[in-house]
Amino acid sequence: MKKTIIGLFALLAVACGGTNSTPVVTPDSGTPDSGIPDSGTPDAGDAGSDGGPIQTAAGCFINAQTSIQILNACTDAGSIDKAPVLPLLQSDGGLPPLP
Amino acid sequence: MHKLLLLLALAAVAAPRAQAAVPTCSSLSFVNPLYLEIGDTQEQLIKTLGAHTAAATTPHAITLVYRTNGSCANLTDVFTVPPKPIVSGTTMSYVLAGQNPALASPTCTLDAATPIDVGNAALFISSCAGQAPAQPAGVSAQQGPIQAYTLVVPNASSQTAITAEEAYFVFGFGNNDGFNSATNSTPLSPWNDTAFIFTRLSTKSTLLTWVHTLSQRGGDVAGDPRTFTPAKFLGTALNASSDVVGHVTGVTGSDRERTIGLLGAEVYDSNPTVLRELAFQWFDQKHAYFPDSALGAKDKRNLRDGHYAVWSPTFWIENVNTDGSPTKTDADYVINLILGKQQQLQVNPVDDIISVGLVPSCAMQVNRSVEGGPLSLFDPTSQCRCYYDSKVGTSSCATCNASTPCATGVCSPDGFCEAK
Repeated sequence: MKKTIIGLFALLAVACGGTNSTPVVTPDSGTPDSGIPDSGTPDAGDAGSDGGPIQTAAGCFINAQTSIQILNACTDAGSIDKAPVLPLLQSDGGLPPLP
Repeated sequence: MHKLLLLLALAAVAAPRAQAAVPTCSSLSFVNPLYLEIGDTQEQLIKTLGAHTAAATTPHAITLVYRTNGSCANLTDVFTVPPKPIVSGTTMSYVLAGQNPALASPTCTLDAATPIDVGNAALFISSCAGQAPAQPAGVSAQQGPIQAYTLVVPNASSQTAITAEEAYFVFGFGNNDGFNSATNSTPLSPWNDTAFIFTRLSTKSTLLTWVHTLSQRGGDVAGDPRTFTPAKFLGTALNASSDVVGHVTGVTGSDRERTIGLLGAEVYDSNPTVLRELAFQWFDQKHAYFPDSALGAKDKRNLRDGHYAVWSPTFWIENVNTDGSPTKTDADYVINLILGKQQQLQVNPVDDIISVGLVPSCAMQVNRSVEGGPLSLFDPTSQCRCYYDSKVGTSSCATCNASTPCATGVCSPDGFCEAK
């Protein structure tokens, strides 16, 4: 299933000439952190052979290639969401210099 | 009555002497001793491996005699020309055949200056720039297993996760993190009192790895400049991992909610009933993850696949001749074990590495080239991912042998169908 999805979107990416683009796909389950319906875990060994990275609707990546994609690759591992209030964060979201 | 008091007084005087009676190392007549200077995050590995090398008969028994020290201090000792020996009078630990690694190692006192046979740093060597000399000719440094670093709180704390931005303010701003309890209904974080923040000394890999991790954006884009330095990392800097455990668990009452400390993941793994590991969300990451697939698991899955970003490779150092050959065969032998090279059937070093919470390179799916740097995919030519999973109870790989070949991949010596 995974390879079918990846293969379809790899073809789509090539057809669109968007080799650097990251197509978005809605996974079968649609639940966060389960973007790889077949195995549940990304397999670095597949990277590059089945096509480019795919970002799911849940926001995680299949076939992650870059550091940010790897950090946010689809997984069924446990995770925690946290959005702390950071009063000193700059208006653009950047970190202020240390005192 | 007077006689009884006299006896008690004599006993009181004699007791400390009996307690302090540490033998000299030379009096113990170690079999093929090898002297190591290691980071304290690597002590469990040396205790576990040393119990096996001391019992091995092929090629011969080797006794590991070690001291723990900061990684950058270790590099200073082995990179100085000529190398600095361990000075006479130093208390050394040693590992006996079959010794239980959960127990403290016995100790002895060096009665002569002794050259270091194997040095260790539990982080990128470049992270000690400015603290240690550059690597000189005649010294080999090889990358070994991967070490995870973590943030911990008392087990009674309600905290479960921390983001990189939050940690930046906790350790960089301390009491001045901008949180005003009078105006903010949702606290920035409970960790806004440096009296309850426990860190490590500036030579320690645990501190330096966190310093670099919180100085990088972590992703693919150029980000904030490296602003963190050990001096700017706030909190009480402690010498040993055990000191952090003691301080974090020693806090009582409501102060436990305000307490946080830095540890090597394997130290947390040894203290899960009194400490709680925090899930960590790096810059540009959308969720917080533990080094393992879940709190309490022992599979280091998130570390291995890149979801947990706070880790560093360990480096193992020995002296070499001008042609690159080792000056001490036993040192090279032990380093090769630590690198996961099985050299004889009596010691399976990969099992020892896995059992203490380190990750052999062959089980990693990601890599990085600089402390706290971006991650890249890692596809080693000889993999042990399936074997690693089998040791932590999560393998779904096919097994194989001479009569049952793999449908895909290669049959590893351990009998698993690995991708390579």
